[in-house]
Amino acid sequence: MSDKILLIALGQVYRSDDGIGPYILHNLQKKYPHHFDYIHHSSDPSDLIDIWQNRRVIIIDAALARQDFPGKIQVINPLSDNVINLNRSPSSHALGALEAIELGKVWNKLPSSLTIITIAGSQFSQGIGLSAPVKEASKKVISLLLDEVASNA
Amino acid sequence: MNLPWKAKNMNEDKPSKSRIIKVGYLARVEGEGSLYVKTQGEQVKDVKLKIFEPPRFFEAFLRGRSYEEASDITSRICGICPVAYQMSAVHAMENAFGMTIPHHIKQLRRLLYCGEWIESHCLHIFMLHAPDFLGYPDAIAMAKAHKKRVADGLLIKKIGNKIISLLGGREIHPINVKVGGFYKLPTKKDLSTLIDDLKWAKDAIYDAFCWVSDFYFPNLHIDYELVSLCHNQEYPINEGWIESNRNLKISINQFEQHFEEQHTSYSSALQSLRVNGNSYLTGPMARFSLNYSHLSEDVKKAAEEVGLDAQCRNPYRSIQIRALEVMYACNEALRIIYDFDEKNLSSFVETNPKASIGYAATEAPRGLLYHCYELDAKGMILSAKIVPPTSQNQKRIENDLIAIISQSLHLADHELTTLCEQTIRNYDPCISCATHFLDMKIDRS
Repeated sequence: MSDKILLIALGQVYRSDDGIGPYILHNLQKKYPHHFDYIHHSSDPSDLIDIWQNRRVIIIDAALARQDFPGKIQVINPLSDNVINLNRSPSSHALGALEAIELGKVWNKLPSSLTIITIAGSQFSQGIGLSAPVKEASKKVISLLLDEVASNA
Repeated sequence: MNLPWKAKNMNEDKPSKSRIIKVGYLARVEGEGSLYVKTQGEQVKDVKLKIFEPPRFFEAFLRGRSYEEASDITSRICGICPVAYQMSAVHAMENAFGMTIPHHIKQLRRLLYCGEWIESHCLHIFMLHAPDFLGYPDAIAMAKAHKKRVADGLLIKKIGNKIISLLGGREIHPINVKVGGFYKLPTKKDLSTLIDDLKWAKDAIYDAFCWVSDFYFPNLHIDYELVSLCHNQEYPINEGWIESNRNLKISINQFEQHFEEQHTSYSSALQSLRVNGNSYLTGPMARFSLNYSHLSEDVKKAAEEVGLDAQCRNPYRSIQIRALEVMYACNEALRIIYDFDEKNLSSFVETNPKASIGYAATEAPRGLLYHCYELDAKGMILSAKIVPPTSQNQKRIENDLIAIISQSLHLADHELTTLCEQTIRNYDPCISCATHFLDMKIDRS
């Protein structure tokens, strides 16, 4: 099993600020292909339970962020922190990342460490491209992630 | 755990004359709705399933769009049954233009739909409805004690998603469907990657069927008018005519002569009724009853083993029927894959739009989904009518609630509320579809 941090981006590229996760992931992957193991996960988040087991995981997402000023970054460790500041799946027809974490806890199929980085977005309508505050926030998140790699080196 | 129908009589004295029960947002149904119940003494005076999810105006903004766009636009009505909307849309356009679709396209569309039945039914069985029967508030709580069941259920669902992804291009809102066929056909090799998964899924869902068949089902028998597609050769999914168990047999283009949509003051979703004003039931129980003979032999055998037959009219047993339909869908998917011959096949038939009206109905997981489009000479949509299964079942849900509440007034308010929520979930309603839970108020007076 790889000992690199598994960087998982959630979100849809074609939904404006919802694409912040993949945007950060693809930027990092292009410049630093060996820093992380990269996954852009755009299907059922319940699949994460099988992907992340025993790995060190960082998830980046916009939809998990509670409504706040656009560009606000939140870093949460759901294995130890209270996750009330994260959004649940809005639909009963989809299992969101929070539900995946809860199932992972129940089934003892969790990552060895899990960090969720959320960036509050301002627009989620159809379209490609990030709003200015979200794009600005992406630089800080990239910096955070590179620091994480450096501290683990 | 809370199993309301097993509660002892909580009201030792005569029931009070007036009861008001409020249910918060209904969990484990898609969309936003509330329920109002008024009882007087031992009579249920009024039940209203109030849908307050905002109307979504799909029929309006389809006007002026090209016939080619209808399948992609309407698929956005729902994230769990997008294939159903795509299929009803493309079939309606092909009906309008008088197109003949080749056998291999029909079979691949049927395979795609099998994927949707598998994933939608499994989500409902394992994540939304089974917790009710076992007294859990949700599937996460249930997953602690029933780890393998939930894990297997999610895995079967995933296999359904794989079918959709392979044939449709992606799991949610597939992108490979077009009027006339597909943009790209799969290869035999691609399809063969599904075989082992489907064989496993078939055994796993049979095991799950045996599990749900051990659930306690409240005793309710409703004399429904059942409505579904029927076909002379197959369990209907994409094709057929419309029948009921009360001597209705019509072609799809006659739908609006026999069914009509009505506004109610308390719901933002239209309710569909028979033209005589009666409610009816569409969905798995209707399909199962009207098309039982077309099920595969192993599915019928499984049903017989637990005493489930085409005469079943207990809505709580719909969870069993959904499990059987998943089993059937696995069988059917395997059959189509084995029979598929990829040599010299075209992926679609050319389209020649013309001024016309087209009609189609297909069997979404929740029931009959009707589409009708009027088109101009260039194939631009002049008008659209979409009747989803949940809007057809709304009145029936209310009537079922009247029936179950009438025999359950001895229950305490919170138990009665739980029973009502479970009753609604028998239908696996998709309120998001119906509007183009449950906040419940019971007024016992």
